[in-house]
Amino acid sequence: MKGRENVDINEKLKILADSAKYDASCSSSGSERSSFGSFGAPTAAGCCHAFSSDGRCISLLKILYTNYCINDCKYCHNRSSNDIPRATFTPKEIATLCIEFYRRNYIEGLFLSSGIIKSPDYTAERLLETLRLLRYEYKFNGYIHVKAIPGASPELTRALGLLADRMSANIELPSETSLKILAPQKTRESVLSPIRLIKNGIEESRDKTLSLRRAPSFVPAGQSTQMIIGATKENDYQILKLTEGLYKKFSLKRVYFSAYIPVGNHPILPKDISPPLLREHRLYQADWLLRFYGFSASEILSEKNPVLDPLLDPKCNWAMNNLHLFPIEINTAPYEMLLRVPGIGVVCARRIIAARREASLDFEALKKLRVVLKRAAYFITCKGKYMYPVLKTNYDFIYNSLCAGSPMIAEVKRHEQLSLFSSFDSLLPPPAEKITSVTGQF
Amino acid sequence: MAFDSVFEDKQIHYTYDGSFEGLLCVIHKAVYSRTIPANITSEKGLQLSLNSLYVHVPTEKEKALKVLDAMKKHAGNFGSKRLYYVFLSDAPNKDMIIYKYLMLAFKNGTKINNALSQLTVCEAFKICENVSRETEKFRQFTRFCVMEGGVQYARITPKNEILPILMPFFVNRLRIIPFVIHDLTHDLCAVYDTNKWYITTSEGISPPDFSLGEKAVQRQWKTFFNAISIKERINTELQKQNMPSRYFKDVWSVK
Repeated sequence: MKGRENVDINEKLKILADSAKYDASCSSSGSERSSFGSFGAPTAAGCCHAFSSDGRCISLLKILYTNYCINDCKYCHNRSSNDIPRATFTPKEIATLCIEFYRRNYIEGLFLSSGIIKSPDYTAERLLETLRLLRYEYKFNGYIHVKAIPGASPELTRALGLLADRMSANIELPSETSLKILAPQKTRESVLSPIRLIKNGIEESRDKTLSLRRAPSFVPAGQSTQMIIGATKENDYQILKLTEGLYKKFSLKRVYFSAYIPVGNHPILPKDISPPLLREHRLYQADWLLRFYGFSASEILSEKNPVLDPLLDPKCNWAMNNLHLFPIEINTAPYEMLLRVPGIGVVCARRIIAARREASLDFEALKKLRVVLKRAAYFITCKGKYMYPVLKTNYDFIYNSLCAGSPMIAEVKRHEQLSLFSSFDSLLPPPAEKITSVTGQF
Repeated sequence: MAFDSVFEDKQIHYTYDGSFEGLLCVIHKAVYSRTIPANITSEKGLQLSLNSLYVHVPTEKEKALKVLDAMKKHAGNFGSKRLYYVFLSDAPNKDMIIYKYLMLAFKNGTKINNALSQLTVCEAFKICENVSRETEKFRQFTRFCVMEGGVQYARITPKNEILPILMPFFVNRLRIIPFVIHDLTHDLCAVYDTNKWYITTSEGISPPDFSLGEKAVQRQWKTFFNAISIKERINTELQKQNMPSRYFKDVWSVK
């Protein structure tokens, strides 16, 4: 079915939200400006207003301007050769929807992307018109995330950046070879150039704020990007290395991973697979380690060991490979080291630092601080003592206990009873891990 | 003499009018009369017991301000905020926790805020976390309906009395739109008239009808909500975990 004219707004919304859903980014955080007048305000921490039935958060009105596209990227739902219903919004329709949803507290702002119609420049102009309408006519001050249109002129991208909170350009696939095969119209350069452009814009704007009293802020919430996982053959190590490079070289705020969902039937694409959700989950965990825990990609994985363990999360895995650094003493360990203990996150580490200034901590105190000890117990001591006196610190024991994920004491007891007779390899069948969070949150 | 000794055995139980200022006045009274109260409660829903001596403390603005200053000085902004959050909670022993916490703060200063291994501080911390978490949930999940005349109306059923900390969030973002948030649990209404906001009891509040476009917008939202989900990754368990149904119990929407 091809597009019809005069589709009603509900129908358009259905088509264009459906086409936009593969964009993982939905964060609304990182911006606190108040430059656009009287209605709406972004929150620095972001805010999820609903969760769809796939468990992903809905924080922004995520829609395409149009899902007509002149490109024919094999992995993309909206490729020109795909037979799907098509529609196009008008800037006014998007602005009205956004305002009406926002005032009812359904959403935190707008996520606007688009297929390419006529030319990249024309498409970017339509997006710019929508943003202009929202910012200047409706005086909308909430969060706006807009996609950089690859191939559009730098002036248009800059103009978009001045009106948006966040911009993103997707690098789509983790390597140039994959791009060549699946997205012949795109090259490494054409994918990276908008990212570089936005990065330079952000830096310029930062410099200006130092010297001018009032400088317009350019993409104040930073930029993000997204790549598809599992459509091509790159391994986790390559993906993490690339991610790390993007954070360092282009100072991105986020790199999103999106598990490949079969949308096309090109011979080169994997067929009939369920999306690699666990792999995506592990990559996000590793991504968190890169951004907030002071890890580097080569600490998490290596050439020799390029795949994330499906049974253990990356932090546990790192700790298991560096058992000689543990146990650490909770009362004396530096913050950086506390962060590296499996089960202790940024919040808990800060709490521990604050609390141990007042009194030295034991395991009871840690429980009061709401530190989860399920995993941490194997790697820490309090006042020189382990949580359970019977605890073993050898690799196999910890590995099995962590994978089993069942209550500690029971494990220890079972192990104590059985170890005389059997090796523990066969002892505990690891249960499948449930995915407890996804993508665009925070 | 005999009469006095009967009173001496009894434990002092302070009551106040239920406002934060009232509680501060109780603390003023306790500190200046050098008594250690056995209990402090709001006079609302008070259950009398025989071996307590009930003393009602009237609310006086100067005394409350004096204690408030002392609180800010000794517990710091951080501690004061924590205590206010505890006050808004539905914890049954919150008044005594605030009293004990303040006594500790008067003695030890702001460093008490970090002493989470102390029982009182730890409890206050947990209650405060609970209140902030619930407020955050209602920032996410409060849903407004646009009524005739353009006023927005939302119903919520929080466990804690979170309206005072919830309101600035919505005032800051809706600014030019008047709105009412109705707390069904505590029978309170927070009203914003585009100029200032205040909290009043919800007696006699009856919301007007939906505005003309309301139904259409709610339908559009449902369309969007359903379309944005990726069918290949359905995970309703995770959805429920992130969006517990209790927050949507009383959301007012078109059937």
